[in-house]
Amino acid sequence: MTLPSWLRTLATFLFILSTNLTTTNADADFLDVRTSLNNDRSGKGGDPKDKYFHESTFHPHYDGRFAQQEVDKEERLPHLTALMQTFLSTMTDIGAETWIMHGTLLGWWWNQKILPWDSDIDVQVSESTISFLAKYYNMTEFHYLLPGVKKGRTYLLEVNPHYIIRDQRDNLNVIDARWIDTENGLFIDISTMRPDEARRKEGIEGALMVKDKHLYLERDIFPLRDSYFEGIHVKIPFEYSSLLAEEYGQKALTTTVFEHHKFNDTSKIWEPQTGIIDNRKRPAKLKPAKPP
Amino acid sequence: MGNTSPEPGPVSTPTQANAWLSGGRNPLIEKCTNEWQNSPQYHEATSFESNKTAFDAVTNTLKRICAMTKAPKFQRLVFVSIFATVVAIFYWQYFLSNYVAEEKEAWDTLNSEFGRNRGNVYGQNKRVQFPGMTQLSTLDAKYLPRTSRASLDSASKHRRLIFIGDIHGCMDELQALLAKVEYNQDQDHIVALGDMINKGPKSREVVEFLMEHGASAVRGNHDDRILLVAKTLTSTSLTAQAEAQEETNSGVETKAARKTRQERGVARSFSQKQLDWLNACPVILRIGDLGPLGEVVAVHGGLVPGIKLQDQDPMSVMNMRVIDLKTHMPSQQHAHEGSVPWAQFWNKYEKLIPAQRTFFGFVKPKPAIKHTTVVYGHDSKRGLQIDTYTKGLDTGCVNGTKLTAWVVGDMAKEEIVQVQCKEQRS
Repeated sequence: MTLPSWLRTLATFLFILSTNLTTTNADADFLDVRTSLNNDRSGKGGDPKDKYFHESTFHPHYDGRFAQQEVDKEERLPHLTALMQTFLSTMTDIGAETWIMHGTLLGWWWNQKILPWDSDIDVQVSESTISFLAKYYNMTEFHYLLPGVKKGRTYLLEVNPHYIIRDQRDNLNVIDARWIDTENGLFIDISTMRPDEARRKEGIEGALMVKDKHLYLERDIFPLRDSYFEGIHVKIPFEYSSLLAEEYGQKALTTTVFEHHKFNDTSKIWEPQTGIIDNRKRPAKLKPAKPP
Repeated sequence: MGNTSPEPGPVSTPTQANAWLSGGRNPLIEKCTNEWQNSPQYHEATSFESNKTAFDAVTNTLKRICAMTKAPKFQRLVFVSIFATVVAIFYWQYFLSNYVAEEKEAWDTLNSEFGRNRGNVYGQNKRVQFPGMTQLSTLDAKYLPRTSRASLDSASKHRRLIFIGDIHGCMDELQALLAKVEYNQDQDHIVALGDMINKGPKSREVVEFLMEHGASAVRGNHDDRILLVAKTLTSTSLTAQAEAQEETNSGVETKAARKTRQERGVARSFSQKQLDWLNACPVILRIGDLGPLGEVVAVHGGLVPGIKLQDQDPMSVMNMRVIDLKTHMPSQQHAHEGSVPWAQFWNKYEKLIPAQRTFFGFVKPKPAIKHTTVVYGHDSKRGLQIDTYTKGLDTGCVNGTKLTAWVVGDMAKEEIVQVQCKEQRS
């Protein structure tokens, strides 16, 4: 028995409505994704309702669903390196083109490694890539066997459903996707490079923008260059030199002492400056005790 | 005063003369009184002579100075001094300070090569790596013209190197130029200074010609861009495919879109072999020792003094036009606050080497004075720039000016040859 057309239309309408309602309210809750933790440290309670990603209560660069506290200082850099390598590897396998920007690009420029004081990693993707990731790879987990890590580590790719909103005024959802280390809560922020319709209407050709209010031109980003970062193949924006000089100024490309680190000219590594000298008088050396 | 002197008449005896001079009765001197010593005017004029107290001394000095300043000669002196100071200030501000800054910077750069503190200058990073991009190549020595009499006498034929500025696909002009220099494939070797393709009408023909004649070339910024565009055309990434889709869908074409379409057209026109040849062109081509010219190096944009060829940033080498004096940061802009044309700085640096070796040759054994001459293109706005240690050969052929060749023969015999071009920017 075929349904009357009006009933079919109503059913279709209700179906669409229900899916829309559920997708916008869908949230990867702690209970949905928890691994071994018992307490949810995500700042979900304190965040506005429309904000999708929640930073942890103890640190803005940690995901509270997967971590209770920050990792040890010595372990942070290797963890970040693994995070970057696994991300780039996954994106290459998927066929999703991504390129590095901001602090990460500056680290690449200096010695093709993460800057030791950099607290986060910034990558960007195009709109077609983020749609692709949202459609087919949202909430997917990737397990990697890493040297020195027993049983390997699992990484989660989570896409913010607000990625479809182009408006820069949506400042609660500036990050479009995250690559999250489910063992210690560190993550990579993925932003989308979008065509800037407002500026294009003004006549600025090839105007591009990101929701975090950065503005670019197509000719500065594309065509992308191939290079290596932390030993893995990565894409670099076309005019990397001018982009870095514009964003960080000439000082960032010439100063060799920064954030308690010194750039070693021979090894080309940012070495932490040991023993920051203080000018207080040192206590007198203890004389050895006289024998009784 | 009554004067009862006798009528002046002929003088006969001395006593008579004395009598006449003295007015007959008394010497005139007796008529002088010293009343003037008591007059108030005199007291005023000489009051600065009496230095009874310290205060008096000060006031006396001041009064002396005032008297001095009233003198026109002094005033002239002051005026001239002020004028000279003002002129000196202007001269310093607009000419001398820049000159001094450049000299100082070149000197510091030279010293830093011997281990002195480099400070915060550009170029200390680990050079960025792009797979497939050759940073540095050396020209085969068999093409080098002779630099010594002995080798020239024993040689069978003469050799020449023909450096040609940005060709930009202007095949006809290239042929005309080679005809003008009387190009002989057996003796001459062409070195194209980048930007052989794009903008002009016959990019593919130019590359074909250069390949056929075994010419050398360096990588220019346009070559670099076209190579990347060619790579994206064959790429399977989503972004590339989306761009390709956009290209076919575009309705109204903006200037940027037209440029992109033109670039893609040029990229598509090459065969894989031609693209491979273009890709193999190094960023920096070391030519070799050409006697008085020193070590000749060919690049497209320019070089930063004080950094080894291996460590020069490839993008900067292909694009630079000016260099910041303080930080040594190259920029592709035509002019920039605190920057000078990179060639100007390079020449200054090279010219100071002999002096530096003399005064600071604390490295034992003293390194020999070796000059490096850079031959480059890229800056059509500045046109032909022939200096002691830099030769800029981009004369904007594709814009309708000239196509230039710098021909270097045996015994470093130099020649500049140019042909007129017709405007053919597409």
